[in-house]
Amino acid sequence: MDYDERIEIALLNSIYIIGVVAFFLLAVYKSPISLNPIYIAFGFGFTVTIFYYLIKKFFPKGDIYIFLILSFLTEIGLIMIYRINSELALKQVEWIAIGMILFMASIFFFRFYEGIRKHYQVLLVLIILLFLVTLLFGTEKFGSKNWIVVGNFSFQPSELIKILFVMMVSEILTRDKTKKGILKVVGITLISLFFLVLQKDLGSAFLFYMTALIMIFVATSNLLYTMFGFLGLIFSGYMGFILFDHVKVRVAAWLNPWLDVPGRSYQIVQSLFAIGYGGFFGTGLGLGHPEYIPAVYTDFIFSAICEEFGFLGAVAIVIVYFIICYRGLRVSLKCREEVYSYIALGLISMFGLQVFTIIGGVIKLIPLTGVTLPFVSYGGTSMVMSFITFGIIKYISELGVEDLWEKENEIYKLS
Amino acid sequence: MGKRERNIQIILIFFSLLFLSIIIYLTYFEINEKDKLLASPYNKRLWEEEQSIIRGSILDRNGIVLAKSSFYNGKQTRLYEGGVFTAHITGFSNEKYGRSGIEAYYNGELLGLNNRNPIDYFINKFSGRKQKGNDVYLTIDYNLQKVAYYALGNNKGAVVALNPQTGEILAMVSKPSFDPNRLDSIWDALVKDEGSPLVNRAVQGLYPPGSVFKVVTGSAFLEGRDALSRKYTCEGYVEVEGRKISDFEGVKHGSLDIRKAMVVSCNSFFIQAGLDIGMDRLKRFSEAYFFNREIPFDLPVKNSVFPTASLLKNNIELAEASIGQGKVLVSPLHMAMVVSAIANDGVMMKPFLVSKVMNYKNQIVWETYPQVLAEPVSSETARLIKEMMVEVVEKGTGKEAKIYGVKVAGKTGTAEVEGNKSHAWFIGFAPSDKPKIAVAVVVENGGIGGIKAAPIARAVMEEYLRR
Repeated sequence: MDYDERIEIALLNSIYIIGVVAFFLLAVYKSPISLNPIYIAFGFGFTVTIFYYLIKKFFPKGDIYIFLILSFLTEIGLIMIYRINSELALKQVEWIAIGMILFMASIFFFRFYEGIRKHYQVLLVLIILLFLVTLLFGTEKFGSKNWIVVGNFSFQPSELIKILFVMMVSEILTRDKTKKGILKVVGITLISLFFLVLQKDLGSAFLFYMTALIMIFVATSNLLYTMFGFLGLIFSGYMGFILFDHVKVRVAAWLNPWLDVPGRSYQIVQSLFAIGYGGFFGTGLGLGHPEYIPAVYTDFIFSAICEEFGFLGAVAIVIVYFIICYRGLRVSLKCREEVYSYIALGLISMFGLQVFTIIGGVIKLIPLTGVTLPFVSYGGTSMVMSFITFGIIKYISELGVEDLWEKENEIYKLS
Repeated sequence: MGKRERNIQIILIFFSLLFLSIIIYLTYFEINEKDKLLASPYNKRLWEEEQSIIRGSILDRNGIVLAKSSFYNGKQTRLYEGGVFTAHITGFSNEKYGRSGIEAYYNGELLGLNNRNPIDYFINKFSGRKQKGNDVYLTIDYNLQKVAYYALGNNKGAVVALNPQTGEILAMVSKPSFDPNRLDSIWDALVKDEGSPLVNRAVQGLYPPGSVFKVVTGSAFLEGRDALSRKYTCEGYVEVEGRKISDFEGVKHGSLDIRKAMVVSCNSFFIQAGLDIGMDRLKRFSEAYFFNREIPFDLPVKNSVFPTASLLKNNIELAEASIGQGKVLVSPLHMAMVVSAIANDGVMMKPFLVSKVMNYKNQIVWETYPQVLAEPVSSETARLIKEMMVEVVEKGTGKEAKIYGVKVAGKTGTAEVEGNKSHAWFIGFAPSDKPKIAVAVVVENGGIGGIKAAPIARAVMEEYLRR
């Protein structure tokens, strides 16, 4: 067994142990004692193991860790969701399974992307089409009008648009790094922002803007554009504050949540109570009061984690997210093919910024915007699209500099 | 290494900083923000948790219990053994009506939230045993508190007694009071009552100080040149910009210096002195005495007010302010602090009500040490004012405060109220050479300070010195 494999097995073992311990506790706490959590613990461990060996068998090259780290995060999310609402957890299990299947599928199917690259303009058409569909048929849920509901199935097109947007920007920047190319990127970003603002989805608007800015910076190395981009961000943030009442409410609740606790800042204050109540070690799983926090299984799940797993648990989760970003950026770094390097970079930036936006929001570091915590929050679209995103990144990691990977393994084997 | 690789590494650093900022903020939150936050009345978790915590007791300086928890059918209720006597100090803690007083301000301590031992916490949580909160020990002397309560009688008003050398509050009475044990049956009446029994007048009541403010004006005057030899003539009134401000009952004191003026409480003298001192200087001195400033204390205190000089220099305002009338307002606690600064050679101690917090194992969680708050006047000025205040009690307006065998220093005040009877004031301390207790008494619409307020102060000081 080589070094990599030993680490992989260690990761798998920790997933088993955490799953068994946590779900055992959950089984005992709730009376009458239910066996469901035990099934979930074993089912989850089993599923992760199966997928791990499938990936090892069919896609052995590239980064294997990422899948295991993501599984760990989904497990933490599943534990919290089961603790808050066991019925939702059973649905979440389905979404995780579908997500993992699509993870494999996207590793496989992304090879065909090369074939459609010459018709990359199709991406733009798709983006606009999806935005228009949302605009025309969208329903409002949780304050943003960005849901498509068909029967009892609901879907957030913006999660898919994120990926298409990153691809489109990557294609443009690979072909043209001059002013003309950058203007095209700016144009597409503005179109996306226009639709997102119409949907009142300001969190996503921020993600799109920053991602485009990061990609332009990496592709052109032009500090002037980057500075200009940051100024633009500040300016548009200010304009948003002046033009939109709901932005004002959010900013006011951020600056001084104590002015209107029962009303506007109810959510953030409840979140802060939960975080404070957890302290350093947390109340322990099942012993806090996450039911006091609104939207706790979607946007505010991090507050519930803070309450029950404490400061230490919360910091651990933040570090895990950082490790994923690190692994992702490493993929981008080692990829020789420019366009794929940009796609990996864009997807990881979108992901990392989203994590920062929602965690920063619920702990009151920055104003709160409603985005999900990927892999942990409850929600089908978010879970499935996040897995697809990382399927693509896994595929790109296979394109990485082979000799470097090999060399590293050699060194470890010798030591 | 190409530019793209370098740039991606820069982005990695950017993300490290983003995630690091989350961790740093969480750390800051844990250390700095958490405790304040958790004690918030909006925190639903507290009421929930309180059922599993035996709330600590509130005790006086000798360990007499003023408030404690008792259990009926497993439900925790607060029993206020201090009753009406200490209602404004202990306050109350009631799921329906909220919290006030020490119960509110030291909620976190009483519940033991701030020094939770994580191991004990988990053991208790799992075994279902109740957590125990901390006991809060006050500087109050319950017996003295009762004496002050009875001395104030049926009047509205407040009495504050403190140790001038340390700042410990020995007694603090506000009237009318209420019985915190019977909130459920009397709440509606309490809220409607025009006498506002729920308000702690000692810290939340602002009154015009009248002549007791002459201690402040006198300080400013004495720190000027040739103060002791300077004389003004009293005609029984002073006319300032066409407005007559008269002396008490229009008495003409003739030509007099500050010693005599203090003893007979001559308004004309202090108005003329105030006009000579000037608005800015008088304001500076009163702010040195903590007017217009936040007084740090264990209960929320309303800031005393000394008016800001208007753009047009208004001498009427200045004249009124120098005898503690017009727009000057002060809380009884603050007045007690002012007089204790004179007692303590010009050093004003930080007042405090909580002497220590003990956990259920009888270990001290923290205790308060006396702290200097300000030095508003020189020790020489303080000594001179002290001498004058002794004469006030010996042969001036404060004779009613005399105690056999003890030298008492004091100053009376009769603060005029428009359309109503004057507020009666007395501030003083004893024994004058080595002060152990300083007192401020205000009787709302009580009339003349020397008659109505001085005996109350005497009763409190006498009781304290007797032991």
